[in-house]
Amino acid sequence: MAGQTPGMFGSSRNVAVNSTLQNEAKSDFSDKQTLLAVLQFLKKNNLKGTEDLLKREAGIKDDDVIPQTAPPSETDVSHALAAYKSADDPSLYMDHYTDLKNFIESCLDVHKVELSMVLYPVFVHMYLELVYNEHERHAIIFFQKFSIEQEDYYQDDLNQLSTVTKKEHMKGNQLMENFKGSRFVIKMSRDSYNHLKRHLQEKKMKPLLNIIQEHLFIDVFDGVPRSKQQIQATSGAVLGENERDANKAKVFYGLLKEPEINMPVEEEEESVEVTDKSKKKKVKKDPLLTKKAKNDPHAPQLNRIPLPEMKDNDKLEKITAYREALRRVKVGRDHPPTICFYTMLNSYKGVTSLDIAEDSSLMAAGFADSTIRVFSMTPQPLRCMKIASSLEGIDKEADDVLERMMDDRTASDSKLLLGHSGPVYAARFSRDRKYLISSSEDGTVRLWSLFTWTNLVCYKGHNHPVWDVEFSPYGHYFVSVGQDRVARLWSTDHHQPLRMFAGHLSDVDCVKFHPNSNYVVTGSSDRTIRLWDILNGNCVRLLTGHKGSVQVLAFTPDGRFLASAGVDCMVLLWDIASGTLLAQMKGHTETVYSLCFGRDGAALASGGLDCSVKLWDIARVIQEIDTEADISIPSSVNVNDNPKLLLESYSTKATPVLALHFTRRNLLIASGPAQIPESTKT
Amino acid sequence: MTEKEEKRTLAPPDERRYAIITKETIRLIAEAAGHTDITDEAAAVLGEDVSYRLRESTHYSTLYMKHAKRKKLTTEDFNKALKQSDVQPIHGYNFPEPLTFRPTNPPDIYFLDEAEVSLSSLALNEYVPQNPGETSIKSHWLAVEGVSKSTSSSQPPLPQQAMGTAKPYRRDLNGVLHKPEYATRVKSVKQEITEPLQKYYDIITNVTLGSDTEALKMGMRDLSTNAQIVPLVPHLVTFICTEVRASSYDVSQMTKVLHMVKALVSNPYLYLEPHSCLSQLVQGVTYCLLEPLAASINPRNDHWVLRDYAAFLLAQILNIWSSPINHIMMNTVRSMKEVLYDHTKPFCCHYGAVMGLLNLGSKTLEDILITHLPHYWPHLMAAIEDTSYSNMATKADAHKVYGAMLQSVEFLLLEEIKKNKKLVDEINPALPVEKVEKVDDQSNTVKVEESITVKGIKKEPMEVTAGSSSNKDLPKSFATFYNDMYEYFGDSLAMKLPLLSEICDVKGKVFLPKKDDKLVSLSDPEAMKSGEELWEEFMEQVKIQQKLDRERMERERMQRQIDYEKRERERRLQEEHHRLMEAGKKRLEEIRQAEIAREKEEMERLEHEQRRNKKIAEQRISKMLQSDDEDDFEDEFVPYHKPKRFRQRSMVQYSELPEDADVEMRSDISDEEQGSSASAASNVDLAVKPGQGIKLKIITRPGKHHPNIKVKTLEPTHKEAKKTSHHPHKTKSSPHNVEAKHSPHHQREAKSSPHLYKESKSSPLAYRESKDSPHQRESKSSPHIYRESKDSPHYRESKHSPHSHSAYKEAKSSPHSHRDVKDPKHSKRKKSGQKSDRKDEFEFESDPEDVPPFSFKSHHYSSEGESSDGTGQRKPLTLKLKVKDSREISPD
Repeated sequence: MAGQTPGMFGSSRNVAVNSTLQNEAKSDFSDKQTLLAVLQFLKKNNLKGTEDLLKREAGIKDDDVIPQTAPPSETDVSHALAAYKSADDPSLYMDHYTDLKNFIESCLDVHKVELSMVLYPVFVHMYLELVYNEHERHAIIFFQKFSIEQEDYYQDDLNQLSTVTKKEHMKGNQLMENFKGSRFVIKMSRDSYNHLKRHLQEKKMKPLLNIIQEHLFIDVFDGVPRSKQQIQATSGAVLGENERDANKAKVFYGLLKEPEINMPVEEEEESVEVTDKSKKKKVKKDPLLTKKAKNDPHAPQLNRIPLPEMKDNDKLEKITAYREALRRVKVGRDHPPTICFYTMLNSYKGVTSLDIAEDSSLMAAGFADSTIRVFSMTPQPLRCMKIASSLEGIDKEADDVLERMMDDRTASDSKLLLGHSGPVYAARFSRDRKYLISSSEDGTVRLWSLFTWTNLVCYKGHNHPVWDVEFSPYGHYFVSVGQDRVARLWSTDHHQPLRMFAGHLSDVDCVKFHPNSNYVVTGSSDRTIRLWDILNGNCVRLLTGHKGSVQVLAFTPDGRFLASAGVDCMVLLWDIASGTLLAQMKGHTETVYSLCFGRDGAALASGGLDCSVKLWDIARVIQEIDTEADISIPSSVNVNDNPKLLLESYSTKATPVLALHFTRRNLLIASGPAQIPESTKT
Repeated sequence: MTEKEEKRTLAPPDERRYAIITKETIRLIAEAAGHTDITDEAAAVLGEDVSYRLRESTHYSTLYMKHAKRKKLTTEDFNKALKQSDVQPIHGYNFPEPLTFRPTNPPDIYFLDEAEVSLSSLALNEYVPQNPGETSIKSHWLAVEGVSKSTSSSQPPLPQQAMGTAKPYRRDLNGVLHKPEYATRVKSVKQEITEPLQKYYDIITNVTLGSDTEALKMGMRDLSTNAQIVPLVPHLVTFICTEVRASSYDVSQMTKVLHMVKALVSNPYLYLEPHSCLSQLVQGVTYCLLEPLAASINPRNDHWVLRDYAAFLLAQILNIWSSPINHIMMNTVRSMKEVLYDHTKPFCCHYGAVMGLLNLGSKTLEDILITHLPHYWPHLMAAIEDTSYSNMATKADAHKVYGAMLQSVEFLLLEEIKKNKKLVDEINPALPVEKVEKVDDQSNTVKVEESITVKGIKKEPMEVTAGSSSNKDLPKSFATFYNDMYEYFGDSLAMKLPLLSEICDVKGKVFLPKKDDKLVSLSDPEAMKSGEELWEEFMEQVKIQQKLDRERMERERMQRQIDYEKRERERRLQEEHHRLMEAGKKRLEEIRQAEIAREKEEMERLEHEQRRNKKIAEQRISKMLQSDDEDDFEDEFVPYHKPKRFRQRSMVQYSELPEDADVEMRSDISDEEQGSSASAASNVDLAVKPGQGIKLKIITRPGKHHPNIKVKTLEPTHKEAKKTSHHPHKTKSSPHNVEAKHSPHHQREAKSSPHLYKESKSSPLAYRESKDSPHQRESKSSPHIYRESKDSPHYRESKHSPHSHSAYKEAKSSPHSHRDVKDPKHSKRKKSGQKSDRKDEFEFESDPEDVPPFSFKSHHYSSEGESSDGTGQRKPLTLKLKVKDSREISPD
């Protein structure tokens, strides 16, 4: 495995491998891999003595090493493909596959479901072997005969695969590389596994055996076999499920301890503002404060990653946010939301992204014509800062210095930002609303100042379209993802990325910072979600279950749960702590492009191309979590797909919902471009 | 190669599933690029590879689509995918509009239908792109406290319509009915309305569309009385609108839907104003009225009835619901105006517009139809006069429009006459307000309010009469109006007049006192004397005319042609008039011959004419006496149409002047001394014979009306109409509506001619009627043709020989236009009236000047002809014809 990794990355574009990632994530398994790699190295260099010694010490048998004999150092595609080399009679493949199918059919029902998981990878690899060995005719017949039997959610991949009918086509095909470069992971109960093993050994079907040995990774667990529903819930990724080990690492999902904010300011203001109710609020406030003051065991250390220091302005911001939060209304099962919809008019160029600032005062829209527009959602117009010469004259000690330095003559409802040379796929505000970060098809990420409304920095790292970018909630950092399958962490003051998170097998479509800024989560077209630790760049969670590319992600305000949605029209809720899938929320009919948790985390709003905003009952999911379940045994984990989770659906006339945002008071803001029939889109 | 072939044979379904570029295509492309030596093998390999690359690029392009958050793949996306694969993007296809593939005919080649761009216009900056509008955000509440705003049930169908096709979840609910149009309707109804109402809706719609007339009647009855269907109204209205449009090919269906409208409108429990129900209803009905319906293509479909009904219904709706706030009246009138002014529309639309205007009342008629008539007339005439076979259908339609217009003009005239009557009422103390009120009491439908207004109106005219100046405007306008209309409609209009007068006469009692006055004047010996004097004057005038004519003849040879045309027309006219007119024809022909002869020998003709004129004058005088006798029989109603006659005559003929004088005196009396009329009444009976005198009275009266009074005067006429209930179309609200409901056609017919039947018995006109019956029969069976034939010559005359008229007038030293002519007259009248208490004095002064208002001459002619026919006297008719001819000739 370790040997194949470089190949995989070598074929992906311009990616330096973050080697630490693999090792840490896959503890004992990767240890073994490392050992094997060393053995192979010794063998290659004819250091027989050392090799034997190591073998004996590690307890590794010869046949364990054999499968790995394919030259590990070779990153060349043709060599990697050589794994498919086989001298077998092409006509055998069909027989073997049929035989395997029959065997699975004949199994007991409990095992049948699990065992049938094997069929898809076996089918794919058999086909590829046939193609590689230039049995084109057989390959096509084989494909036609069995492709229809595969699961629906694999059909996209199969479509792609079906175009590969020649050896030459295998080169450079992304999906092909994924298949040949990695193992397809299947979780299976021990009983089922033994069943399969016995059968294979009895039949001695060499090609089949080869494939299962070389290209499949069967993750065996002790316990009853999983039900069909359980399997369906977590399958769907390009390369099967996640390994159990992949999610073992501890994740500090708790929120960072709030820094001490000088409360006097707040109390003062509050007492001035509300005389009668101040007492009540204090009572309310105190428990909250004490709670936050406590050390959350799941929270990372404040200094786990370096964060910028809080400025006075940020503190003021915190205070206003806090005060707003006190007036928050509930949104949930018994408290339906109030939704304000902002329709983007005359968006002829096609809106490719929409973002609403945390305090709901600004909205940024990226357009397909490479422009960005920032709109003010409050009566306050958008203004430029005065020019430097006139700034000098301002008293910097004045309380309203921020106000003074703005030039009222430049006030307008919206500002246009020009700089990109391709559709702007993401434009997001920093939490302090001083900056805007945007990513575009032109492969650049740009930082914009919202004081001067100009471009400050252009970050060039991705050579391919950058699909998404996001500011850290604490500022300073931002993370960008793109078609090059890598997520990059940047700080605004460096022109080169600080970290690169590599591991996705396909485009990374979306990215989100964890509320404590220690993690980023990425969703990809390989139908997986990965959570990366910023500190060391490791992938700490691998979440499988989506049946289509993941387009949007959202954390609950407390950082424990993650919601994701995408092309498969499902909204999935994950527990970050355990990496398990909690709920599957079905109801959308088109791609979901926006998600947002209520400020109290009880409800989740989702919206997409089907022109509707749907509200999901998250409180109920959390309530119904089976705390008894042993996470280590996949069959004991159940996914909540209760249709009652859908609280309400609100339809717009014809406007897709591209942005959702709960204000601090829990008013839901939704936004999207008005679709003017057909003609307006470019 | 072999593999490839195998693939083909083995895997056809696969090939169908994925587009494949065949080696033939490759070879074709290669040849186009100049490579002819491509082997089969190479082509096959290339083709396979190209299709693989294409698929790969397509796959990548979908990624761009997904991230642009769209559902539609664009060329832009594909170009980006190409760029990613280091392939040159393909330019020229990133069209802002969606690309439409069109098949050739036969459809084996599909191509991009792209508009050609004119480079020159681009270069010359002629092409100015539209301002796409500023990108902006607009906020609205999608939901408040969980209550969805956009789909709230309180908003009936409109928001759904705005949404276009129903949303998916709505599609699940299928209507009970089969037709898709109302299946969708039913769907939405289901969501918002209770079960029983839903059923009711189903039943009503089914009944309306069904063929069971009994059920339809029941349904409509219920619809017009049921108070519980209020929540259904918007849906019913939408149903009506969609159904009207959907079934424009089926007149009976549309009529049924209109019945539904009728039922809804007459339901007293419904309030239609909100939710734009009303405007939708009006739109639906206007659609029936004004659109060139598919049904009207087939002449066998009687869409005219439908249009009449729609016009009636529209008027009813507007009467009930129109208010200055909702602008419905304004909008409707505007739409009619647009249709009428658009000459490209078929005649059936124009017919609808005219009928609609007619039903909306005289004000709109005057404003729109009459003002537009000069422009419209040539268009209509062109269609009517085109006798080509292909034009048959259009011609028939044009006749319909003609009929409708004639009817409207008649209606307008009636209105005028009614106003006159009111004046008469004022003048006559014998007709007190109480009388009218009594009538009101008798007819249950009339409200007390109306009687009050009547009082008010009556008072005002009284005041008006006091300030006499204003009174004289109206007769003038009436006269000019009549003249104007006569120019268009000719005799067919005149034919109507006696009928109109009859109708008005129903209230004849009102007029009795007037007659008395006139009679008094007539009876005065001085009046007779003045007549003689006038006659002498007239002779002189004739001479002058002749001189003028001669001059003209010299000047204008062109007139001859016109004369020919006239002759032809008149011939036609006479043919249609049948035997009634035969005598007249002969004379006309003789006259024409004489004219021709005159042309050759002017001197001869002069003498000839002089002789003839003398004759005519004599005959007239004799006839006057005779006709006066007849008039006695004819009663009071005659006056209306006669005044015109007299004016015409007075122009030409001296003998009639005395009557004019009487009239004027009449007016003076009415102005100043109402009391005197009573005293004179006794004389009336004796001297009434010159019925003409009575007519003249009427003419002068309207002149006293102020335009302002018009509106008010309408109401008294209403009452009168009710009193007599003879006149169906006078009042919109009452009896004629009832008729119209059942058979609009009849209504129209009734309007156009058959008044006679009703009233003939009550009035001496019965006489006439019996004699005229051939006429009437004609008019009934084919009123349009009849009218047309009668009118056209007159129309021509009036149009083509303006010179003669004016010249004639000039010769008389009176202004050209009727108004001008009248003004001095009126002023003089006033003066004279003020100066002298006695009519006698007045007569003398005014006679010569009063002569000018010729406008009515042609009417006079026709009406006299009728009347004379009616009375059985042929001679007067012929005489008049002569007179007329001589006059026409003389200007020439």
